[in-house]
Order: sequence, then C-alpha cells, then structure tokens
Amino acid sequence: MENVIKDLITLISNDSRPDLRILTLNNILSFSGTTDGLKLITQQDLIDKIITLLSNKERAIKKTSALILVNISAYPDGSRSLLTNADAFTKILIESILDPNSEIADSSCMILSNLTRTSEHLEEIDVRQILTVFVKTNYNTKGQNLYYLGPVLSNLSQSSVVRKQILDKSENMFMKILPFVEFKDSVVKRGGVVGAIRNCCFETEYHDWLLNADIDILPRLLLPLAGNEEFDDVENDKLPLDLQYLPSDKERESDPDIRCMLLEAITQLCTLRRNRKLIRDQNTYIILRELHKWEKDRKALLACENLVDILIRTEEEIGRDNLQDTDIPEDLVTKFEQMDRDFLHDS
Amino acid sequence: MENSDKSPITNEQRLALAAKLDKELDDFIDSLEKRPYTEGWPEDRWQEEMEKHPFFMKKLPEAGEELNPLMEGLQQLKYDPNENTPEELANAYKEDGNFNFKHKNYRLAIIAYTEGLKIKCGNPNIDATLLNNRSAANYFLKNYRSALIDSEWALKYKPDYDKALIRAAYCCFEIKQYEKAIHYCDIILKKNFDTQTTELRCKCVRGRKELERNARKQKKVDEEKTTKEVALLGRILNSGINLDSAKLENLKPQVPELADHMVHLNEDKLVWPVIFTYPEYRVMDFIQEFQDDDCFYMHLERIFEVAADWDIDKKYVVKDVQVYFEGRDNQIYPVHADQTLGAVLMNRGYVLKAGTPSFIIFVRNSVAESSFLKHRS
Repeated sequence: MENVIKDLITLISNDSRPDLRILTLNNILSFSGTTDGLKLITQQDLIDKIITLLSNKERAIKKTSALILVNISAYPDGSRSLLTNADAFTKILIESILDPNSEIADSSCMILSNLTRTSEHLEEIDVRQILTVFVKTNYNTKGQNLYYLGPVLSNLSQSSVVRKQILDKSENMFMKILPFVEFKDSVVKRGGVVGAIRNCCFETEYHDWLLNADIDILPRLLLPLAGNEEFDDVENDKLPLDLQYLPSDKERESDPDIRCMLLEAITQLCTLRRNRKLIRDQNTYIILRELHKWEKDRKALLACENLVDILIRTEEEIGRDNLQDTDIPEDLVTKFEQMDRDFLHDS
Repeated sequence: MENSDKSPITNEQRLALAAKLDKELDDFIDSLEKRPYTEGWPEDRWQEEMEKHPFFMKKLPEAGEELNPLMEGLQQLKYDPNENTPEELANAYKEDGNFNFKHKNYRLAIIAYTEGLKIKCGNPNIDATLLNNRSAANYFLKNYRSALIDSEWALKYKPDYDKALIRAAYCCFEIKQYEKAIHYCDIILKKNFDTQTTELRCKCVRGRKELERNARKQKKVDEEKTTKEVALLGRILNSGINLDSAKLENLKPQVPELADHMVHLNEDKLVWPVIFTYPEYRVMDFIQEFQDDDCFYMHLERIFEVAADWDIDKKYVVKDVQVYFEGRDNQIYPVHADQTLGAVLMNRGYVLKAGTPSFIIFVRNSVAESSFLKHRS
C-alpha cells in the first residue's frame, strides 16, 4: 500500500513527463470521488505533494490538483490532514482567492469553505480580505465567480471575534454585504451571506446599531420573506418603505434554509425590549402572517411561529428586558427540543 | 488780551453789540455780487445725487447702469486690466463677491463671481473658489440646479474640494437626485467621518426609498384602473348594447352635470348617467346613477315627486308622462315605464351615444307630444 502511494508521488513529481503527471492526477481525482478512494489517498505525503502542485505553471495540473483537494477537504479525515499545516495552506488558498488572475480561485473557495466548517482556525484567516473580494462582482478575470466565498463567510462568522470584525463600524463592511441578501445569481453566495448576517445577529450589543436608520437591517431581512400580497393603505403605511406596495410579481426567497435563517436573524434581534418594540412597530407581523399562510417547509414554519410568538406577546406578558436572561431548566430544554423535532416530522 | 480788572459789560451793552454785528454782516452779504450757486446738488434731487456718490451710496450700481464718474474712476483703479494682473483682477472680483455675499446680496455676489470667472485667470485654485462661492450664492437663492453645476465645475478644477463636495451633495438632495447625492456623501465620508453628512446620507436613502415606493404605488393604482376599465368595457360589450364608439374615453359624459358620473360597475350591474329631456319646455333632468336593472318608473317617481319650477301647470306626474327614445333610424320609440334601463338599451334600434343614454318625455296625449311626433314622422 505504501508503495502505491510512493509510486503515485514519484509519478506526479516527474517534471519531464507532463503527460504522465496529468494522467496520474486524473486517476487520483477519480479515486477522490468515492469514500473508499478517499481513504486510500488521504496520506500526508501525497496530500503535501498535491498542495505544492497548486502553484504549478501548467494549467491542467493546477486545476486537477485543486479539484482533488476539494474532494479531500470534504472528507473529515482529509480535512484534518490538510489542516496539519493550517497556516501555510490557508495562506496559499487566500492568495489564490485574492489573485484576480487565479484560475483555481473557485476551487480554493470550496476548499476553504470545507476547512472552515469546524470552528477551528477561524480567527487565523483575515476576514477583511475575504470581505473586500466578496463585495465585488466580477473580481476574478478568469471566469471564477467566487460564489463559495458565501459559505466561507458564513463559516468564519461562527467565531465571535470574526463577527465583530464583520460588524466593525469604521470599516463599514457590513453595510456592503447586506445587498447580497437579494443576490439572484447564486443561492450559494446568497445563503452564505444570510448565514453570516444571522450569525452576526448573535452579537446583542450591536442590535441597536443594526436596527437604526444607518444600517436599517429589518427591511433587508423582511423583504425576501414578503410576497405579492396586497395590503390596504393603513397597513402599508406602517411597513418600512421598502416593503410598501410591493409589485404583483414580487417573489419570496425560494430557498427554505435561507428563509429560516432570515427568520432566525429577526428572532435574535428581538432579544431586547426596545428592539422588540421597534420590530413590532414596523408591522413585521403582517409579513410573517402572510408568510405563514404560504410556507410549506416545516423548519421555516417553526422558525416563523417562534418569531410570531415573541411579537404577539405584550411586554407585560414577556415581563423582562432581555430574552436571553431566561434560565430554562435542563429537562425543559430537552422537552422543547423534542417538541420541535416532533413538529418537524409531523407533516 | 483782555484786562482782568475790566468791569464786565452789562446785558444791555451785549445786546446792542450783537445787533450791531448782525447789521454789519447783513450789510456785507447784501453788498456781495448776486451770483447763483450752480455746482451744488439741486435742492429737489439732492438725495438722488447723494446716493450716486460713491462715498454715500447705499447700494451698488446695477449691472449696466450709468456710473458716477468718481465711481468709474475708483472702479478702474480696482478693475482696470492695465493696472492689474488677471489673478489680481479675479481676486478683486472674488473679494467683491464675498463682500456682497456677507451682506446677503447673493445676486450681486453672483455677478461679481461671474465677472471674475470671465477673466479666465488660469489659476485653478482661484477659479475653483469663484465657482464654489457662486455655487454657495446660488444655493442660498435656492437655485439648486445652478448651484450643483457650479460646485461640480469647481470639483473639476479641484477634485478634493470639501466645500464643493458637500454643497454638491446638498444640491442633489434638494433636487431629489438621491443616487448622486449618496455618491457625493460616500466620497465625503471616505475622507472623514462626520455626523452631518451621515445624516444627509440617511435622508437621501430615505428619499430614494420614498421615490421608489411612490412609483410602486402609482403603478399599482394604474394597473388597478386598467383592470377596472377592461372589465367595464368587456361588460358593456358583452351586454349587447349598441355603442356609437367602443372606446372607453368616448364613454365619458359630455354634459358637465354628469361629467363625474361616467358609467361604472356596481357588482356586476352597469350604472349609467342618464338624461331626460322635456322638449315642451326645452329643459333637461340629469340622473347621475341609473342602474341597468332599475325600471323607469322608479326614477320618474323620484323626479316628479315635487313639481319642477318650469312645470307651471303641474302636468308632469308619473301616471301622465310618456317616455320615448330616438332610435338608430331617427324614429321615435315609446318606452314603457315598467321596463328596465338595461332592457331598453339592449333594443336593437337603440344606439347609445357619448356614454349617456338620453330619453324624451312628454305629457301623454298633450299638444306638444302630438306636434313633436307629427313633426318627426
């Protein structure tokens, strides 16, 4: 077995025979498509060698190597091997993403999104660099669309440190990523950014800022949840301007997971009393009411009901400022979780 | 020197001396040659003259006004191209403009800045300042478009001119060019963060959203109107009524009394504006809403409940009147008071003109009726 790996390494190291190299790499690529194959090729020496090929002059070699690493990174053991030298490897990936002429930028984004799924090494990556590229469309000149920066961003925002960098008021990056909530070209990128925004909403001390006139996040989160339902003038006037008199061809966000995350984000923003009031005052309820009539996805339906539960209760009933101050006994948590699971499976 | 010990003169002496001196002065003046004073300002126009004098004038001469020679001389010192370099001249006009600006004489300030620009002094800083200042004057006069043009022109000379950038942003806001205003705000905010610009930017974002909202609302209103109109026209055409024109705009009543009561739908019933004419007295009644399943009886009853002023003999009562319509062939056809409007309109011989059904009413078997019918046949 070890010999096979050694042979493979020798074959792909041979500078004088590019034909053999490509042939071998293509073979490894087809191996990497199956779990058994992945087990076989997840060997540190081989992986290290393939990583070096990412900077090869030959386009085909570079691309095939990148694709192999995408597959390896999707596999937990492979991901672990790739991260043995995390610093150096993520540096290579980031360089490739930041290079407007890179031909393997998309693969690099995918590898990075696979590697950042776990909550390790998140803070070692400079999210500001990712953000500057993220907000530019057509950044890459070689047709790489970098949509997978969405999931990367979402993964990185699992870390509170990263979230605070995204929310940095002086950099103003948060304002620039917000419009991608409506990004029609790619559900991957859109989902990524909504995930990141949802995660950012866990930073309670930023809620006032997020909801004020400067960022005005609520209409951004509500608009994808709104359909083409008609409201009378009184109801319309109570809504944020962006949600008033929506056209008859207005469509809701098509992806149920994204709808779910949008609802979860608004739910997080309901943590403090003053913000609950603000969210109620903007007639959020009628958007949710119409969404609830329309929604078929059980998970999104549950998320919608959870939010409505908070909004329809009066502050006297809620009886406290910060919703997160509630201590819920362990047995009740288990019970509630079971109720949610039952709800999801009961269709 | 007077002697201190000299006794003071008495009052009588003093008065006598004064009278003597006055007399001597009068005599002297009288002895002078009589010659009129011609060089001074005439008594009736002295105020006007005083205002022309550069030392006393209260307002600056308007452009094109004839100048006092003294003023002209002073101006030449300040504005003569032979005495000054182009930069000095442009600066002189700038100072002039600034002076007027400070005194809120914005129009005069604009004239001065314009003169300064005409010199084309070649110094981009001076030209940028002149343009920026003219922009400010225009802004205070609420000439926001001119102010915007000037500030943008100033920015061409001096791209990082903060005052011009800020004014450009405010001008764009005033003329509702929110997109551009936001663009300028972003340039300013990139250089340094200030709350006023942030507030302006917020206002612009809100303004833009309002414009978008209003456009969406208007579109909805228009769509709704079109849908209603299509439904109405379809309903009329389907009912088999003969129209003189199948266009909606030709269904608008021509008489002012009914102008606001064009045919419309109530549920699925057509509601028409209707004219009753009484040829005997050359008068008419206007019925604003005559639903197509109402029969004539209903409306006649209401109209003749109280006798009209013109009905001197009080002959027009429901049981005695006869309704007619004029058909396609110009013949006169009787209408029974029990018939509904819809039934009459569907009559093959009926042509509905100008969206307003009209009917002729006589007292049955009256002289007027028979002469009318005879005349028609």
